[in-house]
Amino acid sequence: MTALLATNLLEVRYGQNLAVRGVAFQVRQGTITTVIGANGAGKTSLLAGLMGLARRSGSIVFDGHDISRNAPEHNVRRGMILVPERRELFSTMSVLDNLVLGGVANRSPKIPTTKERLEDVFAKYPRLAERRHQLAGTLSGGERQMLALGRALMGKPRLLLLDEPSLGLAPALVEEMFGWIKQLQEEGISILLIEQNALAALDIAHYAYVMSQGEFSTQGDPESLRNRDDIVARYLGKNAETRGRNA
Amino acid sequence: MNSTIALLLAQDGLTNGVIYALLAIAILLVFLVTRILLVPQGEFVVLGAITLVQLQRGQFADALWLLAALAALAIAIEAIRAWKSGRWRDLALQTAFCLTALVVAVPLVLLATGPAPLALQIAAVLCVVAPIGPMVYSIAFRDIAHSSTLTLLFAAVAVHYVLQGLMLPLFGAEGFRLEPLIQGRIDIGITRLSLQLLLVAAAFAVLVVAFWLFFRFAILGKILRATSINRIGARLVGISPDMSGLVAFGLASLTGAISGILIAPLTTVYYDSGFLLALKGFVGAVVGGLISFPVTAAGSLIVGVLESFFAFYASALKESLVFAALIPILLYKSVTHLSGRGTEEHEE
Amino acid sequence: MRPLTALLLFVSLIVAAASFVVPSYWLTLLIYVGINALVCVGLCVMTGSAGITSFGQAAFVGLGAYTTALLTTVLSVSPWLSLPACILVTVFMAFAIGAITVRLSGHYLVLGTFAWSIGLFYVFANVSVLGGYNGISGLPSLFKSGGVDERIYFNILVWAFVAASLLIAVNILDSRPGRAIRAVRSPAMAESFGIDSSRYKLIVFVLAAAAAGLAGWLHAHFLRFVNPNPYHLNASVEYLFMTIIGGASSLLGALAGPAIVVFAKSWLQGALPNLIKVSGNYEIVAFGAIVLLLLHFAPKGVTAVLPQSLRLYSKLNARTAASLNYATKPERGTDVLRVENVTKTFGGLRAVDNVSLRVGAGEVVALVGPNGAGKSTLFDVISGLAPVSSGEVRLLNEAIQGLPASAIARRRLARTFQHTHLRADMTVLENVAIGGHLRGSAGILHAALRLDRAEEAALLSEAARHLQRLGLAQMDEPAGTLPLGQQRIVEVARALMADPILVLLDEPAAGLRYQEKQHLASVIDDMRQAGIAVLLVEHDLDFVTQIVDRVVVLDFGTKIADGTASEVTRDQRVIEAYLGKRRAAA
Repeated sequence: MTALLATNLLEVRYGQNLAVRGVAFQVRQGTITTVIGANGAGKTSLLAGLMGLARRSGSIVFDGHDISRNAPEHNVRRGMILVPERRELFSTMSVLDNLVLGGVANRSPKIPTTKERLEDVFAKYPRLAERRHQLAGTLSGGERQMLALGRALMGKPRLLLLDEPSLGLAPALVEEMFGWIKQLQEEGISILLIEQNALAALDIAHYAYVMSQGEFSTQGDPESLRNRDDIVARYLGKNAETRGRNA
Repeated sequence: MNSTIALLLAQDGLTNGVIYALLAIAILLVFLVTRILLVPQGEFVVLGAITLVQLQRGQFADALWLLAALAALAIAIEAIRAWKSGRWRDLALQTAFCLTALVVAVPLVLLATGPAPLALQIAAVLCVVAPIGPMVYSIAFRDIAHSSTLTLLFAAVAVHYVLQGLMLPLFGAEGFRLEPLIQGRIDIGITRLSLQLLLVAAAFAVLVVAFWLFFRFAILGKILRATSINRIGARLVGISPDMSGLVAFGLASLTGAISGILIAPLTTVYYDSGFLLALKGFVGAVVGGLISFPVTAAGSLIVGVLESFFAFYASALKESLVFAALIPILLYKSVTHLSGRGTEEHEE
Repeated sequence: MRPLTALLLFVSLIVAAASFVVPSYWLTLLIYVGINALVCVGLCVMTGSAGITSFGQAAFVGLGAYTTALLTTVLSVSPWLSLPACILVTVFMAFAIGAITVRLSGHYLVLGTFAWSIGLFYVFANVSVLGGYNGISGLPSLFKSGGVDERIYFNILVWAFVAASLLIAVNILDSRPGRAIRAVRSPAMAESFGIDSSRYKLIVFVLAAAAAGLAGWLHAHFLRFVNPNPYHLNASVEYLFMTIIGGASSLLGALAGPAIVVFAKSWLQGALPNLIKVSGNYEIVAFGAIVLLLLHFAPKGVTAVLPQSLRLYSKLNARTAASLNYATKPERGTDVLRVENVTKTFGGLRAVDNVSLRVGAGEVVALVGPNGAGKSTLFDVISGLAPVSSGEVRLLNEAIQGLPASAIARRRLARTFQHTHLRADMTVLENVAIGGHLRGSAGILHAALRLDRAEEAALLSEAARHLQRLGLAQMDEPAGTLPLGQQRIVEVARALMADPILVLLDEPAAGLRYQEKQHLASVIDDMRQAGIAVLLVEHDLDFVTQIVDRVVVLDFGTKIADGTASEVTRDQRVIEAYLGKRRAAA
């Protein structure tokens, strides 16, 4: 499988602070790659750097093109779309308007019309269809996640960058959310998933990186990572028991 | 003060107030989309007014020189940007825009100079002044669009000085005035309404409805709204903040041109009348809390009426009084704005 | 004497001395530079330090000018006697206008300055006793000799005033009130250390107005007539532009800006009519264009890049034995902090849901939980930056919920912030010294007259001691140049400067390397030994378990565990909250 996205020596800065210290990773076409790690590890900065929302250096190649100097808008048009931690919805506009705006940048004869894309999103997330005229700011937390995801899909992305999609969701919704993510990957969208909820992420990913202090400490096959004591230790400290984790 | 005089003053005040409202709405729109407080909005109004007068008098519309100069400057700066970034698409777009603007404006102006249908002259004014907005954005603001609101304000003030300064040699120091577009008054019982007021009010109503429709239903309007609600969100769906800025400035200069056309028969316009007009527009926008369009419009109408009454009682000090009236409003806005803030930071 | 002060005084001296040798045309320009510099010194401090942008300084210049015009012509007062009157009138008006203006925020403040600036201009122009647009003429000169010699004396007088105002500005900025003034731009932080932002803003506003009033007096007696034109909004904009061109962050900019503008304008007025045949006000166009270019390429002005030696910052000169007073701490075991059933809702979201906890004197408690669990919100509620929705917060048994942050700071609560709230442009030492604001008492007058040196030395030495204990040596570096982890350490030092009984640490160890974390751990241990109650938010559970007595775990705003570190990390609910549950079979 080819790498849809590949980086090398990627550094991301906020002011004087080096949040990502020169990492190299890949997202293979059609797969879910996940980056897990504790809070403050630099995961969100990683996505911000990829997208062009923060100062970065190093090489970023998407679908064979060098995007390391692209503004976020350009990346969207190339097919790389970010669903950020804070969702950044247009809260005083309707669900429908939010979705329509999601498709505004990528319009060409080769891809489905706005109407068709809307139907597709509504089919996936009927609750959005029900609430299509409601203002985005009045939706519940889970519905906002859904809308953020739907809006991103309206841009017909080839690569979705998801920043903590389960953040703030009740456990049952978390299940549902990861189900959707898996479904999207099955439809051919490649996914780079950032998550604190390590176990759920490892369940659906094809490849995983563990991030800590701006660097990747481990990477590999999710199945093998899941059973490693040091992953748990990294989250809970060395004294934690691993008992509770096995199904 | 009897009721006749009061009603006449009110009418005068409302007529001016509508102009201020147009200015205030344009200022508010640009602020919401770009965080720029558009001090040069007054210059757009003056350009519109003087150009119409020149056309009616059969003089050459000197504003064309300004348009041409700005077009050349915009293309030159865009070329530098393209050379530095390696991205040539924007240069092609900018050149196309500027050349189209000139190709449309020049013949229209020549046709409209001297005796010509009013509609043609109005079209000429709009075609000359409206493109100036996006050009100004592209030249002066685009590269610093991410700066603090304060830096943007300084830039806006600087642009105002440059434009106003250039307008002196262009138009000279004398005043420009038109005969009212419609003469006469009609009787509605309690008072006689001037037809000019009705015309101005009608134009205002049409514009407001057009804007409302635009923002509600047109995709470009939604794009602008989205940018003003959440800039980051807009970028994440692929909306370029530059594009929004250009469109917002274009709407501002278009509205300015229309305001100029409406104001030319009402008062004598000088090359430097713009500043005070813009400031009164700001008063209206501040009353609206720099957020709400309806309150902004209402506030501007009140400013116009207040000014009219102040002028009657204490003509010399009317400006002082109008601006003094602004202070309690600012205070009120600050207090109510602050109370909902919580830990929101106001870092600079 | 610091190099900057020496340079400023030297320049003033040179210009004054030059009066005897330069051609008289230059003298006029130098006088204008000096008068403008007076206004710009005030603007530098207002805008550059306190962050207040005023489009109204010309109105204060006008107030000074018209006051002396009236007194010296109508009442035949001697101009030297009218000087104090001018200052008084200006100061009085500044208090009145400033009291309202400084309470305005952001762009409202700027628009407010527009408002009274224009308002006053039209008063000058339309009140008959002030002579309308023609103004008042026939003001007496300041010096009896008259003639060309007079300009020499005038220039010396102007620059003497400039030197004095620069000296006062330096003294004020390099002091306790000076740091408070500069802290005003981070309002949450300033409040959290007891700084009354409105009061300091008002003082700075009034002082700047006084300088402008003095400039007005000088202007009026130089021209020997007054009319409204030089006091229009345009003039205020010009002063601001001078400050931008010079650079508002350094007092050198208050000299450089006016010098550049005055000489450039004069040159342009001479050169441009030859270049461009059509008559017009081209200096204005050139001026605007230059400012635009500056905003694009050098927004901080010509003095933006100054060597460290020319920057203005508080330096620790001599290690002093004198120290500040320490207040007594509560006895070990007393409950210092009690959070009782606190709930905080934002709109529909319950960020903190019925949380209770306690921290005793000499106890270290960690507040942990996954991202978004409500920990920072709880800190904001305890420290007074956010109001509770319900519940009580008690500090030494006194209910403090609902009190403003500065009142809570006075009760000796200190905190650090998750997103560091340091003044990036101030040095590390100065930032730490801000923490000790409430332990000092030097006011503006003391500072201006340099009467505060003993207290300053004690404050700065203690700040230095805290920094050394925390392992930070670079005290005179601007805080913004430090890596984020070290900036957090500076915040810890700043909190300790407050001599607190309770310290809230918000992720103090984030971004630190192993050695630095160990060091921090030992400092927290020192706090425990000293009897301070410590509540900290952290993510690194290894670090936490080393140093804490107890751990409180939050998830979705609710407390799910409260006990020792080992108890809590074995708790099933805690493990699930952090790692997530395994998905049901797909």
